Amino acid sequence: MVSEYKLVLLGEGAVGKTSILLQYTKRKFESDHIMTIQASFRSKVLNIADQTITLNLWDTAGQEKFHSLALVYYRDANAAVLVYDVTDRDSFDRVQNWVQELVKNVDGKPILAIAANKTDLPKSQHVISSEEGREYAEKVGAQFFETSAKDVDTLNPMFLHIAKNLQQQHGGRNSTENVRSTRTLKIEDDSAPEASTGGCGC
Amino acid sequence: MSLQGSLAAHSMAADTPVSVSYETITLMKRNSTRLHIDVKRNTAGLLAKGVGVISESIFSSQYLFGNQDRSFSLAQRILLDTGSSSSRILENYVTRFNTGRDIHVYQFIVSLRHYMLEKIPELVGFPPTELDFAIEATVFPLIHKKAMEYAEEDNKEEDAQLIAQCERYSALTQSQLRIDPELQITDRVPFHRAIATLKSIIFSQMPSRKMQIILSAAQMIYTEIAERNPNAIVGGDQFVDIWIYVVLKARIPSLLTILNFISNFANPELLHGQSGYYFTSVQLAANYIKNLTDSDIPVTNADCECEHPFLVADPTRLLPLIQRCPQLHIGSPFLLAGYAPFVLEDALLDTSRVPTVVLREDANAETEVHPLSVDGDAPQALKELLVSWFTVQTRVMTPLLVRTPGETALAGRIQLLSPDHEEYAHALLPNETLPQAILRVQTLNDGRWMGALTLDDPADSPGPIPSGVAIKRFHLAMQALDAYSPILPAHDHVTGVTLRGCRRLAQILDEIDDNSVRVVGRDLPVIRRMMLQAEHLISLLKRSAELLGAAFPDPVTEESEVAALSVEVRRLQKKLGLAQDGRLGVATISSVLFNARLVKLATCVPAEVHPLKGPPVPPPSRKVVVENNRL
Repeated sequence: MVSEYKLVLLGEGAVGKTSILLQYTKRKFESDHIMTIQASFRSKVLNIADQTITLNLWDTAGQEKFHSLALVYYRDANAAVLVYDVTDRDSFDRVQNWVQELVKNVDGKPILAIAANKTDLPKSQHVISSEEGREYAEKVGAQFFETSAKDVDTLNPMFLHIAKNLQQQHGGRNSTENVRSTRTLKIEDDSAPEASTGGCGC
Repeated sequence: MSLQGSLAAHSMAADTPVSVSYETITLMKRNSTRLHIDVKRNTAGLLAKGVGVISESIFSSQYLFGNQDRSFSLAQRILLDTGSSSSRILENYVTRFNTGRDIHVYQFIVSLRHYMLEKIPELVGFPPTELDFAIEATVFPLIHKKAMEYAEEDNKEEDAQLIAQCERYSALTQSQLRIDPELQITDRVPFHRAIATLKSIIFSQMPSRKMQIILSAAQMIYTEIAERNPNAIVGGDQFVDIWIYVVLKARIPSLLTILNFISNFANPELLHGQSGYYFTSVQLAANYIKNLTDSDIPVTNADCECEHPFLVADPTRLLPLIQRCPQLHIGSPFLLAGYAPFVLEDALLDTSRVPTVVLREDANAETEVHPLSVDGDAPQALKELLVSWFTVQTRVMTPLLVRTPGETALAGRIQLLSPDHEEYAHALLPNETLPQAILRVQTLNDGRWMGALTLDDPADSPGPIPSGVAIKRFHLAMQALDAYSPILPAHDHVTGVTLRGCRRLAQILDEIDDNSVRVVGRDLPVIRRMMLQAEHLISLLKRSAELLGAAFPDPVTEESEVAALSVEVRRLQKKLGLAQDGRLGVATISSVLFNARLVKLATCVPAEVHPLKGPPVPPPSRKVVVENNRL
């Protein structure tokens, strides 16, 4: 049983979305540079409790000019990671806007995680404290993680948490299976199916 | 409720009149052969272009035709066999769709797949996605027209808006769209492969094919960047800026309808994965372009930049434009001290580019320049056009404000070659007969001094255009055609350019045989690419005429032009020893390389050469002191 989920990375430009994506999906032997250059969409396959889960990671454009258009990216997302830079107050404010928009525009309940990124920078530069971030995340029902794109050990728990929650929420069913079931066919009463009389074109 | 039940619903509800059914069958038969070939060609082409290297590509996850030849044709044969029950179900569904009774194509495909897997023993073990693809390939040509009507419903007006916006902002540069300078392409037509690929989206009739095309256009971007900057990383932020550029330049008519067609009828699984990401990015780009306003564009503050005249060293090339636009004025020339004229080879080869000559700082030199001014109330588009002409490739040219003491009227912008590009200066050119002595074609952004002529080889006197330049010029023309074809240029323009270029190439190659002219080794890959492009263009022309019918901007009135072109291309390929698949044989390359030791000038001067002549009546020149006020 393979389950595929769509996970969007949201956050202002330069908060480190792409670096998180790259670090998390880095393969041991990455010889082909074409693989490295393409850092806007990546898939990661996880094995959780004997189930294979594919996370499709969408690195979205964070520039100001696209804010009003970004709905196309996240409207059918199964999960969202909201990234801010701990040294940049604006990026944290922006995350709060994203959360509001997600709640307003996404059907169903996407799994939310908030990533306080660039924690590797010296503490003296931090503008947003762990407590403030954590408090906010709790308020909006998101899980809070402190991350550094330089250290994959700070990223693994976050994505694992999301994957487990997705698995729980969807009960192992394929996310796209759900999409499909919302568009079921009108099926009329069973009448005898037409007999396939020979004629298989052979 | 079983799947069989749903199938029964499809087949039972079909109270099809016999005539409709008959037409459908004929159409199915006619389409089947062509489609199969198309699907194969398309897939092979995309795989060859390196789509396969990206692991999550839809080829590996969804539509990898491992055993495609056999299985695909088997499935299609069953579907097209009018005696089979599957075929009848399909046919009934087509009627239901075309009469608006059931538009859920994807559900139909899935149920028919289940039905076929269950009922037809030959299909046991057949990968479901391949079967889906075969069904899709059979059903969509039959319902395409109606499906497009559905998709068009609310989009017609918006499509007109979008294409108007694309026209309006067609001159935007990479910098103006804020593409990361590290990722900008310095070709004459940046990202032309991606643009050309995306343009071909109008040709396919299946939603999944259209998505493949989008994906493949995105891959072209990565490939084009990787070729130039192997260490680049393109994340979501960077990609979208480039993608907007590509979508803008592709100017696809009815793009919103096509996007709507895909989201209505494509396999929803595809919309979640990698191809979905790029599809969504097209939606974003289209919406962005639709809402684009002048205030969104940085740098081009056209009004401000047009305040001062542009100081041009070669006004003759501007004459056609000035004649058309009464708001443009060219003043009397004056001498600009401290600058020497410098010609950009790229601009020289590209006759559509207006400013040819840029300036370069040189304390001992002086250059005659003419102020080109534009009226304040001139249309915004004209100002933008001018500014983009003068700032296009700003990495080569630096706008500079030149002031004259007491004479503010002479303050103006010049196009200054930035020092880091001087390394490209190789050959010196004569002032009078500018294009006649270009040697050693280098890069597209190559630049050369204008000044006294010195040649490497005294035997190579200035004269006709060297074959290398002719080849390069043809290549540029082809590259432009590839990016703008097949919708924009008139059909006879495409054939005309291609035909002229092929004949010139043939002439050059005839001369190789005579051993009188050698072609430089590096021209061979260029020639090879051009031949492939020529072939590609011919097929696109034929196909666009066929598919678009009356909508084709310039319907094929003279079939003979295209036919003549095909003949010429085939003759050339034969001459070059191009194998059936269009690849240049290794043996041919080495034998030509062996002969190619010297570059000798060919004997043909193409008609488009613009000799640089001075202004008609040179009034007395005045000296100007320059303050280096860089803007």
